[in-house]
Amino acid sequence: MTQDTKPMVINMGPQHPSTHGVLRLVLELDGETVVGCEPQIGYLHTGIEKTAEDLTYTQAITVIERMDYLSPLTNNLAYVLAVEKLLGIEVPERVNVLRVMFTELSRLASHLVWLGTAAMDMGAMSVFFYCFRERELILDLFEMAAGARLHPMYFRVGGVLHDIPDGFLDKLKSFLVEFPKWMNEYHSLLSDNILWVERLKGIAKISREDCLEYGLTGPVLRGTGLAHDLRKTNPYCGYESYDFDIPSYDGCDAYARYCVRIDEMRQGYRILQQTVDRLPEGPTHIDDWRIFPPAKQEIANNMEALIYHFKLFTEGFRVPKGEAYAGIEGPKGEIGAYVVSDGSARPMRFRCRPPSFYSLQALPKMVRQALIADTVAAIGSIDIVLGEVDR
Amino acid sequence: MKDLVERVESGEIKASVVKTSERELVLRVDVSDLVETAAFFKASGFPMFTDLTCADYYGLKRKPRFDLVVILYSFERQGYVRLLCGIPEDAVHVPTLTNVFKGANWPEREVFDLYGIMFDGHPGLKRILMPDDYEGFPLRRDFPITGMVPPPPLARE
Repeated sequence: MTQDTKPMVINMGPQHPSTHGVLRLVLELDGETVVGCEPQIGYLHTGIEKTAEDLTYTQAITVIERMDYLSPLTNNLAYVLAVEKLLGIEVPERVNVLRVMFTELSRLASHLVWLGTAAMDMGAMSVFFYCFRERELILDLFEMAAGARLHPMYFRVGGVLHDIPDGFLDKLKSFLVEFPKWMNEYHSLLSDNILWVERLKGIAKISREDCLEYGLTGPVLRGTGLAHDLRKTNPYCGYESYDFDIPSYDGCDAYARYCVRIDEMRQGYRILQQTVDRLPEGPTHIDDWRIFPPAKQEIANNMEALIYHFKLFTEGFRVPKGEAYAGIEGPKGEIGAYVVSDGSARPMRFRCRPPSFYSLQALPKMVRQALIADTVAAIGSIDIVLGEVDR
Repeated sequence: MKDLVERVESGEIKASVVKTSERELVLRVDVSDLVETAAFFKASGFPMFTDLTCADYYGLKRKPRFDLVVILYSFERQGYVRLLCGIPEDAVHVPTLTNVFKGANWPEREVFDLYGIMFDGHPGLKRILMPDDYEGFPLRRDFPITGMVPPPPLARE
């Protein structure tokens, strides 16, 4: 006698240890096989884009940095570049090198979290602790420079918040001395592990054409063999003068994306070495008091400094009417900021182009006819952060 | 981007140039030409769908009120094309781009959710970020930043 079965619809999330945030997946299951998947998002929607319209351009950095909270300075950089495009200003050389330095540190921090959480979802729990141990050192560097670990808000329109303190470069150099050894350790822990490779090879496949249709960029696109990186094709902050490679692998699956991110960490380390070597002397902000406030010491003696300080902190600086888009290569893909200005001191429209939003849209395609465990591996491989998806 | 500018000015592409630079071309398109222009750019070297979003020019009292923004990327030219499409407030029906780019599905749902612009032909247009029974379109500029709290009373005319 055969049993009549039909697919079962169950809920994965929004509270689930493996969905990396408040993601709700409505799964239609035939046994263990996923027949249909519908992601439902919005559980972390905090109205960042709406809030930014009510704040001045500098205050908006506060909320904008909280979108992708694992690599905060990339959100910051995209927004600041878009506003600087609207203003038409060029920042000094030291600012560009500092921006590259901190963006690459953010990228390493994000990839370490990805590696730790993806490994933990697969069952390799020790990797999680090692990665977070390394990430603590990066967060200590952020705290040293900007005062906050997770949301440093170090980049401002027209420069950086203030110069790096004494001892920062030495701490960064000691981090860079130790980093390759740990990278090789994690690489050998996982890449030589047959269980890890079996869990990831052939899982969550997506073709290159689908990547372009769905707007997937970053490691997912580079995992299909297309070595596209905005740092090379549309360089910003002086990336064209750094020496680094773009890793890409042909597999189109989760294992290829894993290899891409591991290599990206190594290339990020290379770029960091170069920023430390080439950090030039100079100002850390533009010399225009209409946009970047004067130093506190000036205010006691200089009347104009006092006036500009007052205007900047009560009203904020005005940005000419127009709209601009700045896309940068974040750790999860192309993160872009589309800013529309109506001539006042507050952005009329701020839009973040979130890479995780597009990655999640393609998830149902990746997990068709996969097992639930493969769904967990797929979510880990596309590296989403719900703060960015929901804003 | 110069050859594209020439094609626009000759009338082959039904759009008008807003601004252009080495790596970026911004065009203003009519709602009726949007799908055709997007498909044209997809076929002529802009295969990557980057973004679809909307901006509300309510404060500037501009007609049409909304601006639909579609951003596409080209690997050969290493540049973006940005299509700005003015959408009036009352006739908020726009053809969907999901037949051209599959990735337009969720962004169009988000624009519907937050701005109230309906996309004709969309396979499943429903709210994505706000709760399904939410009333109002939050990102419109005349929607209060604090939200519509408390909810309106039950007795309504």
